[in-house]
Amino acid sequence: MLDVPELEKRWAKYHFKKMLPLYIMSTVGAIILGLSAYIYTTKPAVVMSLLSQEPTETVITPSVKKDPLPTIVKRPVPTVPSQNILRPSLTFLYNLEERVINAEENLSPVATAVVTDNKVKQQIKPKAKSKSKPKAKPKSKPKPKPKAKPKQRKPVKTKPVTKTTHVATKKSVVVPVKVIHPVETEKQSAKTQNTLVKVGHNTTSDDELKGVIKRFNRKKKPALSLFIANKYYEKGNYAESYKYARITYNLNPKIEDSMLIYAKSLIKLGKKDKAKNALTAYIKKTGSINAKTLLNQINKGTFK
Amino acid sequence: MKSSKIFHNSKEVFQDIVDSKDYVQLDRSMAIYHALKEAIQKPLKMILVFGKPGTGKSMMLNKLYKELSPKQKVVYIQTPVIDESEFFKVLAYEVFRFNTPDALNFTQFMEIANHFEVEVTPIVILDEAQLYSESLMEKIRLISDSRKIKFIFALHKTQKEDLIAKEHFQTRIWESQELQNATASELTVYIQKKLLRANFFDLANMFTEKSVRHIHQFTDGNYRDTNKLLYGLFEICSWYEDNAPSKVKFNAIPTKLIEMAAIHTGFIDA
Repeated sequence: MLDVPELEKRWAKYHFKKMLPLYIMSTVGAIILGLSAYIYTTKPAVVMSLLSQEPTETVITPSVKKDPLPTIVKRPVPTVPSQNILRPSLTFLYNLEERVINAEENLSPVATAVVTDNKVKQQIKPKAKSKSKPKAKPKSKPKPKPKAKPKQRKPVKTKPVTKTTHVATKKSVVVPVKVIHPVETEKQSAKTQNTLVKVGHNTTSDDELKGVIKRFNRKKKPALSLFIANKYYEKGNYAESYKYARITYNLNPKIEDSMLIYAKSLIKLGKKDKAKNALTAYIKKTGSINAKTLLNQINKGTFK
Repeated sequence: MKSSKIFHNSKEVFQDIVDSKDYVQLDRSMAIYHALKEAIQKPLKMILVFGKPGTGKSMMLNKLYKELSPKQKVVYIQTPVIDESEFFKVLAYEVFRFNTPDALNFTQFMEIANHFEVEVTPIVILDEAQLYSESLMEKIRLISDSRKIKFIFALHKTQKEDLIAKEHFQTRIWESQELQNATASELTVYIQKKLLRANFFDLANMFTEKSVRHIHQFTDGNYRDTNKLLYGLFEICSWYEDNAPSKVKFNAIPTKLIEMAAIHTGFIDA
């Protein structure tokens, strides 16, 4: 005999059991949401600091230019304004993470400079060897030729207030550098006579690198380890670049640059076969064109 | 039909009765049916129809029987006759119209069979063939070898492997057709066709794909189980129609009622 009221009771029990996981999940979700809202409203600073510690998710492909960006350039022929070519810089990673972004400063080709002792040594030294014999004193700054007047962005003079630079200034010396800018007008060049050139836009001091390593040890982000690997490679510390490239690859095998740095480091360490094997396996797995190119270079002996 | 009485007679549609008139033609089952009819025309000794209980074997055989019987001699033994003597007596009477009050053994039956000459080989459909004993099956094999009778067996899928494994059947079952449970879309067609055939147009529209999917969850597309669930469902609907009409919807079948029917019929253990 059909007893519908009794059946309804049984259904209610069944329905409750069926929906219980959903209820529990909803309740837990609501609690988490409520707590988050509470923390956000009562202690926004904590939340903001937590949020700000998260690095951007973009995978940074560092510029693997071996030669550092020249800081003081003397160009006799003012036709090609190559000094104004903007190069991708990894320092923006710094700036982002330290929450001090000054985009305009980063974009300015020649602006104020903060030069560390080491950098001054490194970067002025080759200049001394150059034929033009650039003088270190600003007084001897020759005027640029007035003929070359291609339209250019005016150098924006902004104060180097980024935290990065702040850290650097602790050990840095502000050096007035003679700037020979072929594309500047007389007026502009006059202005730049006493300006400071930011040296080492793409370079990283040891302290900065250590800072990145610390952050990497804390956060284990592949972007950071790749950055470190690149920097070590640039510095010629191939053992370390090998190590960090390998770490990067282990953290995220999709980052192609990690394999390239890894292979390059192996080559530099004299492990050519290992590098070739690694690249071959990687090409087989991903079909990477860059890896193929590198492998070809290695095979032909054109890789340096 | 008035909507207030919509559920009262509808449950009868889903009574589990094997009647070829109620056979719902679905694409897949019709393909199997035609294949079976073609197999009968071939000079095969035995034909096997197998599938899980409730997949429509009996219904299909019933339809086959109804369709073929006007054209040729067809005997449909729905309930297995386990006793050998009784089986041969039934067979002798149904096929050759030979009646005897005495017991009949295999040799006697073969003599009777040889005595009668038939133009078209009679067909004997044996439903629930898994219930026949092995010795009787062996004798049935010998009868089919003599080409005096063509047998169609219907049995549960679980027994099929055992049957095929037996050597003497491996060479003799030359045609086999498997029936399977309905998919959700097939079940929708099945339910709607059944209701439409009984002129329950409003009810047929109430079974949307969503509600049939829900039913399919419980019955897995088994026709017998579906009939059972729907019978229970319409019983519940009828109760609401009589006692709490405000709770009855006439545009869709509520999930609650389907689940209640599933509890009532034992598909949900609650």
